Amino acid sequence: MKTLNCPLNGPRNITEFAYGGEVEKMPAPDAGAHDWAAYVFIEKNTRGVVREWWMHLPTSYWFIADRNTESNEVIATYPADEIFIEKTGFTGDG
Amino acid sequence: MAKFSYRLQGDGGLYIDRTKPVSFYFEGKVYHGYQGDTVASALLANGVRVHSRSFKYHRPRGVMTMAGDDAAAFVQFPSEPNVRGDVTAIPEGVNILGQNYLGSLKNDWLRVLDWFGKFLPVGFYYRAFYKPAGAWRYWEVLIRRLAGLGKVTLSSQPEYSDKQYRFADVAIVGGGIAGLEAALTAAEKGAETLLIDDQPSLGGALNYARFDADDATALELQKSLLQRVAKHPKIEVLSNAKCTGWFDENWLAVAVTNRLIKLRALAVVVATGSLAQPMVFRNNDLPGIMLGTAAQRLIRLYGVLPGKKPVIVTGNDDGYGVALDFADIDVRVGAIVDLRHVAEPGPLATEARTRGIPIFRGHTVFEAIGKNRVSSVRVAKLSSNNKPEKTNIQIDCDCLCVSIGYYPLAQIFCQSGGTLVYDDKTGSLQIDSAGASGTFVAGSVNNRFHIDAVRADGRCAGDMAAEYAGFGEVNSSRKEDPSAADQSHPYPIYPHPKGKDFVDFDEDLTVNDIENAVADGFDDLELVKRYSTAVMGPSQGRHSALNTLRIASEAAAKSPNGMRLTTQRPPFSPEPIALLAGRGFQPVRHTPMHHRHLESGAQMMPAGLWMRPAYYGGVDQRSTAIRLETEVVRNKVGIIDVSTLGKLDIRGSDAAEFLERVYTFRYSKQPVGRLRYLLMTDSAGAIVDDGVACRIAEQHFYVTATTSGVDAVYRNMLRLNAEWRLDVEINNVTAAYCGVNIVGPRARQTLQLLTDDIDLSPKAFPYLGVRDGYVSDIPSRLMRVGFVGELGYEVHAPANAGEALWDRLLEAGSEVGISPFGVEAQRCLRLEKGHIIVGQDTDGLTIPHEADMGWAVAAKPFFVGQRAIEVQTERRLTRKLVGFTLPAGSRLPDECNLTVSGDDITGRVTSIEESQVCGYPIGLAYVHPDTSKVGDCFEIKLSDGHRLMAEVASLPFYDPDNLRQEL
Amino acid sequence: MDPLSTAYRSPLHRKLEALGTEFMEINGYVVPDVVPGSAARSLAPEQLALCDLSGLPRVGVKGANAVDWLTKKGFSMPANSNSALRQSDGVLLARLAPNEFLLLGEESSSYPSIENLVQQDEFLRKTADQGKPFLVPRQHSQIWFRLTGCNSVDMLAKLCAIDFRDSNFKMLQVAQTSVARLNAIILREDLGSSNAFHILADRASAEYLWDCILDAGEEYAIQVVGLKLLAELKQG
Repeated sequence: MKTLNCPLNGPRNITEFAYGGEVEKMPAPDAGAHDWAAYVFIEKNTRGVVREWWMHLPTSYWFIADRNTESNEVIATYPADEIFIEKTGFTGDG
Repeated sequence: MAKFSYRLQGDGGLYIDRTKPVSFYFEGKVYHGYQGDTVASALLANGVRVHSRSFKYHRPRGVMTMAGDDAAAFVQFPSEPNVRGDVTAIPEGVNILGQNYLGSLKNDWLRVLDWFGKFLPVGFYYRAFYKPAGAWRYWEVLIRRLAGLGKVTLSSQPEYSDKQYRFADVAIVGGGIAGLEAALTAAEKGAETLLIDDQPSLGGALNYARFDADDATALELQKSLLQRVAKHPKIEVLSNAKCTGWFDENWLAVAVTNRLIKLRALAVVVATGSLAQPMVFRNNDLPGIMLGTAAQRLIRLYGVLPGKKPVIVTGNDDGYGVALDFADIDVRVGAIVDLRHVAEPGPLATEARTRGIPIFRGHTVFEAIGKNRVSSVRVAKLSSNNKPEKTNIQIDCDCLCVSIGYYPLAQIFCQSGGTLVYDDKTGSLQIDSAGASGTFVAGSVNNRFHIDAVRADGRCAGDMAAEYAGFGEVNSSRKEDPSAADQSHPYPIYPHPKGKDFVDFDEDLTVNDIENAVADGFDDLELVKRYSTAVMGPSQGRHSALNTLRIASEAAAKSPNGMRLTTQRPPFSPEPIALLAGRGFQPVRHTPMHHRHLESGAQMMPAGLWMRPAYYGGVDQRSTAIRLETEVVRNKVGIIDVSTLGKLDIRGSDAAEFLERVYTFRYSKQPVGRLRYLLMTDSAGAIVDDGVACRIAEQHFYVTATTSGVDAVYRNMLRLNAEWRLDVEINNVTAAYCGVNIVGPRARQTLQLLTDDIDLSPKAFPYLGVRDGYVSDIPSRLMRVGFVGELGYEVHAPANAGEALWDRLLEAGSEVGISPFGVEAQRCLRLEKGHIIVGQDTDGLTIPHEADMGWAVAAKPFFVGQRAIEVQTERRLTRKLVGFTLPAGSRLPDECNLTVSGDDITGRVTSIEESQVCGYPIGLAYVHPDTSKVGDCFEIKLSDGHRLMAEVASLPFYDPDNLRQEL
Repeated sequence: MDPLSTAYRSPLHRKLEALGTEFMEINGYVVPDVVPGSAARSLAPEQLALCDLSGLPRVGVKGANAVDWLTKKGFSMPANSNSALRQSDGVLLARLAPNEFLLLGEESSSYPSIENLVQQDEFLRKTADQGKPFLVPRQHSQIWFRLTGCNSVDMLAKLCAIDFRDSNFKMLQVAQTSVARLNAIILREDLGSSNAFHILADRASAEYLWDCILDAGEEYAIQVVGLKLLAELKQG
């Protein structure tokens, strides 16, 4: 059974985790309908290293994994705040 | 005259305890064996040779591999079918039956199918049985009765089975010479080593095979290795343990009696050995024809004589060892038939010649003769290109021992990524590529056969495995064994014009069948397998893959060199479903008031993992109970346990902003002390959850969610904020607080008896207000919500006080006739108010506007699903959720009955109830927008096809001005 | 003592009553003092035993300002997540994440500290104080079991995939993981000379988990014990 190295809890069986989709930047609230539809529905299906959201279920801890979709090897796992550093604003002032 | 016993005198038989006799029944007759006997060994000791009838032709079959690698050994236990008799201990006093016969095991009426073999060619079932049209219906009944081997006993109870996790630095699969050496080497380097062996005693081939002329080597080596293993503090041995599969990162499944062990090892050594192979010739399936190793197992492990008139057919030196084993117990060997024209005589061959056993070089057995067992064999000279010539040598024989080659049992290693390919040099299969990192092979599975080569290979693998696990450096290197080229005859296959020359004994496939598959166009081994079913039987190719590969490549005029074996998948050997299923874990969640519901006679129903009271009353009183409960709520006061409801604590300077983004409505200006409806949509705009948000303070919200939705809502909130990084703390406090809805015209007066510090008057605590205070001595949060349309308070309190809270509410309301009500009554009551239930009245595509909830969608900078809703509402909606009524006394549709317009489907019924207070059926349904106005009519199609006319009604059905809930 | 005499109850009270348990009151809760049968024989340290500590005080502390707040209150915390530190007054403080802590009050000396933290009756707080972290109501959301005995590692291996062997899981180490398919927190704290663990899991699945542990422990002759015997084991 595959293991995943949780940044908070260390290596654990994959059954302790849930997959949360690819890490993708949300389009602007007023972006075109096609952009939003692509964001919601279209998978790029990349062959190679993909950045993904994973959650450790017992602790509800979300983190990010870089995984090679061809070999299924997980290259790295790290806390989300290494990528998402600043507050995201939608009101134009934050 | 005493019946001849095939049990050898003396104290031979490593597995049996001659001081402990065991008796059992087979086909109704009583037999005697010893503790340690298997069903097959005990039957053979008693001279019973026919153990089963074959799958297709119902031919009599007996022991072939004596290692669990052929279906001929399958017998029926009272509680279990398809038990491998050659590896299963005899159960005391139990009546064992043969399988797959009509009539008796000895005289199976279905033997006639053997004579019709010509009409049952490979793949015949793809073409037969379908003409004339409709014929299949009749054939199916017959075939179902005839197909399969054993019978399932529906009344048998499985024994308690469970699972356990284990860990090791190095796991060794196989306790033969290579495995023992690997274990000792790894343990010496400091690795915690687990040695897994499927036999009752360690030693593998050391326990039954003959390695030299005087048969002394094996015994000495076995004693010394076993002693050293037993003494070593870092080695733990699991005997009678079968590794059934390899999974990612050296995760092994090991079956031990009634337990499945899930083992995580840092490194694995596969030392599972190799299996001797059958030879292909006419009638090679007669009872009495077995592998040479089978005969040796019988003699050495069970003290059973395989036959009184043995003949050996061999393609290597080991066959001579089998002959010597018979000679050593004073049994005359009729002949040794050696397929090889020229071969350097090994030490065993030399000794056999010295003993005067007749040897036929460059000959083969090309036909066996006998009715229910072999009685003689026909031997022919072989031409220089391996074809039998005309001959009439016939030799009396009641036991033919076959020793023509080996097949590596590399399945576990192949599951980890290794491959087996055919190698011309060895005339057999060879491991071709590495398995997963950290997985190693050793011994005869790795084409090492000479004892010294096997030992060295084991030590090398143990060394490498220990290093991989982090213990020391590698000090050894692999060495090939030149004797590997002398073990397997490259083509021990002699097809006969009259057929019955079996290749796969489990599937009853002959040479013709493989050749015909290729002729039908299925010329790749993967296709041959699927078309003919070769290697797909219970032994999964362990006795048939090699010969199938040889015949298929010959028929396709391709060289077998480099040909890959088909993909190996777990389980390696049969796994009872009870082992996989038990001990299952199915969490269940109880509210703090759970036992009070049971004590009040509630019928409980699952809501996700939770158990909730559906209604209070006997199973036969369902509709009455629900009706009475709804009446109490409308007229007096009822309480319902809503502890399962999701509860989230959301606080921080960005708390309101967070709610604005995650829900459709507006919350930043919501006053403290008030609650507001929450609607959540996903990024495609579909409704996924609802609830209420209570503003406890400027930066503190207490939010509810649905019972089944809260876990996903919480998870999603955390995911979003991991990205947005707002200053907000989100906590799932669902289990920390219980919830009770006390509702009905008498609710206020009842609750007032229990609380002094909360002013319940309508002015002080209006509808949609939220207050904190004490109910009795229990700190509580009270919310005025209107789900069922009566004056009501939802009381949230710490879970540990839930039972006490429930008791005190019931006591306080006892004078006004308070009574608990369940989920069914609540569903009816809420429907009378036209409230939706997410997941029932909404589906994966419902956007708010379809359910007339556009009012809950605010114009804001952003919320999840906003853009998707905009895009979809720019187009015309294709359906609307409406309330409807049916005439009083009408038949009731079921939930999910379709709403139709002519032949078109326009939607479905989502909720339906017979309303007490209205006096007619009410419901919610999706209909076409053209028939969605109050007064419009639409059709509902019932399950039996009958159609009802329904009328769109305005919501709510009851108390249209909402006066009662706002009292 | 009547287990229904307090408003606050452990969800295991019925099962304990059925065993003939003698209860006593601690901090507004009724807790198991002596379970007959186990007291009759003097419990050997190897003996696998299970005790319900759900009535004893505990609380979680979570938030960006959790570290500062607790430090100001005189608590010292382990540097790493998933480990615990015993405080001078007996509180066992576990760090679950950089900004999340769990405080367990098994010793009576520790009760005041924890009571102090929750004294404002968290649930009824009118305002979320600036600078005060969230007090996670683990007193109510989770049950708390104590499992002790030399076979506890083998028994846990039937319920949980973590390697609890001494070579891998150290004293005061914490694992947040799945036990019998429930989310749970396991903290190793040996008792006397034998392996022992604290187990915290969802209160709603209390009876389910209790049954799973007793079932898995049957093979090792598991006994249900009360606080009195647990205290004795601590001395020995």
